[in-house]
Amino acid sequence: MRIAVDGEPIEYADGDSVAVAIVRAGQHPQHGGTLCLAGDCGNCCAEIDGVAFTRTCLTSARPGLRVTRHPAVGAPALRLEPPVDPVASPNFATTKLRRLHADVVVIGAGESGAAAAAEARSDSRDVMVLAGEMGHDVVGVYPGPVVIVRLANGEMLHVHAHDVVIATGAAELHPVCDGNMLRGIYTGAAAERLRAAGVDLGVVATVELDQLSRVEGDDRVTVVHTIDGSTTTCDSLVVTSRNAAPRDLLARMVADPHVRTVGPAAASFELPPEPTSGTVCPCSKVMVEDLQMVWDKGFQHIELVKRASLCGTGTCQGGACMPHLRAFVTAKSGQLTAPFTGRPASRQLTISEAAADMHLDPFRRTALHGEHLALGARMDRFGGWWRPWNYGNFLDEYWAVREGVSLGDVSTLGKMIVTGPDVVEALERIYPTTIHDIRPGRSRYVLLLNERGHLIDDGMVCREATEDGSDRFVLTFTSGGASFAEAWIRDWIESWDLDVHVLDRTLGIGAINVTGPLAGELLRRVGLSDPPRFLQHMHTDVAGIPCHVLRLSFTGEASFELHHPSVHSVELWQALMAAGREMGVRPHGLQALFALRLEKGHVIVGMDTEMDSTPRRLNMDWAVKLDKEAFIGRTALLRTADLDDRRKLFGLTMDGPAPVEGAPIWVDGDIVGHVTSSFRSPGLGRTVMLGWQKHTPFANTVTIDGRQAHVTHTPFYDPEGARARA
Amino acid sequence: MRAPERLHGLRVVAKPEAIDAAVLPVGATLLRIAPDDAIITNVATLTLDDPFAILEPEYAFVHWRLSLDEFAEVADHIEWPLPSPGELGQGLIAGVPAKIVITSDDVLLVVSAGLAHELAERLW
Repeated sequence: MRIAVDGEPIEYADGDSVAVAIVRAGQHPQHGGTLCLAGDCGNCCAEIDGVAFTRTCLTSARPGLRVTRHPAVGAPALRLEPPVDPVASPNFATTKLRRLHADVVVIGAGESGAAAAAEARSDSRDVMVLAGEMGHDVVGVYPGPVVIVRLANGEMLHVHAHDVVIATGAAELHPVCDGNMLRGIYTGAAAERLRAAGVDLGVVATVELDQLSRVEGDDRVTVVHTIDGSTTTCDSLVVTSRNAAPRDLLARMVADPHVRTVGPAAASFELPPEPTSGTVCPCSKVMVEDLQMVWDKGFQHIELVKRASLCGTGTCQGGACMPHLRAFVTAKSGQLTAPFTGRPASRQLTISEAAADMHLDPFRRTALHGEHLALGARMDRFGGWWRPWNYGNFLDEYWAVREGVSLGDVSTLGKMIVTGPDVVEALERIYPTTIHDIRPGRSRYVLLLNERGHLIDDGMVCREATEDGSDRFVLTFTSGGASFAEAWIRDWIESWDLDVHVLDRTLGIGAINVTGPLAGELLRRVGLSDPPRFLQHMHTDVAGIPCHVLRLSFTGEASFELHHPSVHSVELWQALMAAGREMGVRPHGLQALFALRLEKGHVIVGMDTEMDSTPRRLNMDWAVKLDKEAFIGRTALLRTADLDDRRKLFGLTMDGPAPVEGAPIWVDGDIVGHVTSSFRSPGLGRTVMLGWQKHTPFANTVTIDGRQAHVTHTPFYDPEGARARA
Repeated sequence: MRAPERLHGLRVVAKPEAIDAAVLPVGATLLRIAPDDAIITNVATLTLDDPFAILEPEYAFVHWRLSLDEFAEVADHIEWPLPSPGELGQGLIAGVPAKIVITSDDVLLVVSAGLAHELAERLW
């Protein structure tokens, strides 16, 4: 039975770990350093079957297993999987994860662990014992508490526990002296394991840790010096110690009252002598003189020494070096120094293991997803939804809206019903425009501001006509802002202690925008002969489907949003497409919509706006009534109303092709802002843009892409709004 | 895995005490999303002691009825404590917002229709 080490086959015996097999062959899993063979240090880590930083002492040898030593200097190369198509596959994690729940998790199956488990069971608690010998590689304990475990079969286990007991015992000390990174040095227990496995260690020198002075040899130990001046020639050095360090790394990772440590892992511990020479941290190759250097530079706390020197930041997270580092800092400071905080994970994980059952944010599909695909749509993610970007030729879609009629899937818009005795009061406080004077059946465009007066969303407020005359409104929001807006409104209503009911209908209500100069005619063909006027809305059947019809315009043409039960979306869409076939109806995607609205100068929140965009900076003061008694953001807007604004969003036009969105805007050789939206308008015969100027005085002529552009009032298209109202 | 079915019922937003006092017809199940917010399955109308209550047909969700064995696989993707039998549990399942009700016979797994494809791909 053989394994391959750096391409060379070596024999192993039944029951050998990879590390034991390598030592049996007279080699070292790395390039030197004390071997504990207990998983406490990183000195036996190697790449096994392509996975770096694998502890060879905890890996059983099996036929054909491939071991590659890490480089003597530096880290092994990061292996990257071939790139995947992020659109096709949103799920990257391949390692299986199981989640379990237990009253008590005991980590460690030794004497103290067994006692803790027995005690918990005697209290009729559900106990789970995790131990290396049972195939559990515990890699971390997190608040919750949650215990993260790697299983021998490659799966990950997340155990959610009420209480965690850490009973991981104590670890032998590694020697720190000149020559301690040579090959052929073992702890006492490691030597016992090797002898039990029949490994010939040759001539062995056994030395108590605090008696060891230095070790000599070319690449392998040959001579051992002790502090009493004696010298021993040997093939192997076994270092024993009366003392053992608590294996408390897992406990130091989490401050949770439900995590406790028992047995030797919790025992007090006498520090070894202050190290005076040699390698303290084998993982990060930190020597005593490195510690002294950072200490002399003023890093005089164990957490600072760790960070400045990297001692304890390596593979074993202080498993080998912690006692010596503490001894160093204790001796220098004159105060007994506690261990540094443990940082998960205690074991090296592959990205796949760390990401087990982790997923990208899910993206919702509208009920019309299949219709879009059938029409050849190129779908993309926008605002948390899959949406059609275009259906092959966005300019055809643009012209359909401008000259004929087109359908857009706007099911993604936020939609909310609000009622209650205090609903008008609540909406007056939430929105910066007046609400009480919106008559039933009418709607109003509104901004949503935060306390600083910055725009966070926009939409419509529609007042419903109710049979009993009670107040009921339908609010709309942007696609990406809907869920935040709901939380925002609920929070404020709760803070004000107002009696208002809120129901987010975004997911259950689909919406189709019928837009274009022939939109009214198309609606007439599907039974809506008297559609609402501009900024009015009504409940009526369209193509036999109950709809809430909102008349507004984002595209600049007559637009009717048909809000309807999402279970009828496909039926309504198909009815509209069929009825409009002779009229040349076609769907439009986001690409066309963005161009159409840009011609009207409509901003898209989050695309044209910034985190601190006030209505004034966006030229939208008209949507703010500062003479209202109170609304969110009013105080901030009042405070800044008389100050000069040093940034502003402008409409811009230029000849030639559209610059990329994000292109810098130049004035006199300086960048003064950037383009947020741009489009070469075939209808207007020029490029139209929105862009920020952030330097005053604002310029009327700027340079973009090396060409002159001119500040231009918006809307660029139909400034009187006649087409939208037609 | 089979396709999910639409969750039929009413969405109710009302004063908590009005929802508490609601008399549900036989076969209806109350999924209490929040103190003032519930889905009541298999009902078309309901009378509540709240003049401002919002009652709307629910179209947003689909569901699977899973056997306890089928659910065991799903549970591997749940990192929050499972709800007591008959109670509504809400949270991420494989990263997708979902709701579950566990009974002695089966498990009701509810997800918004727009995310059903994501949940199914991640679970099965």
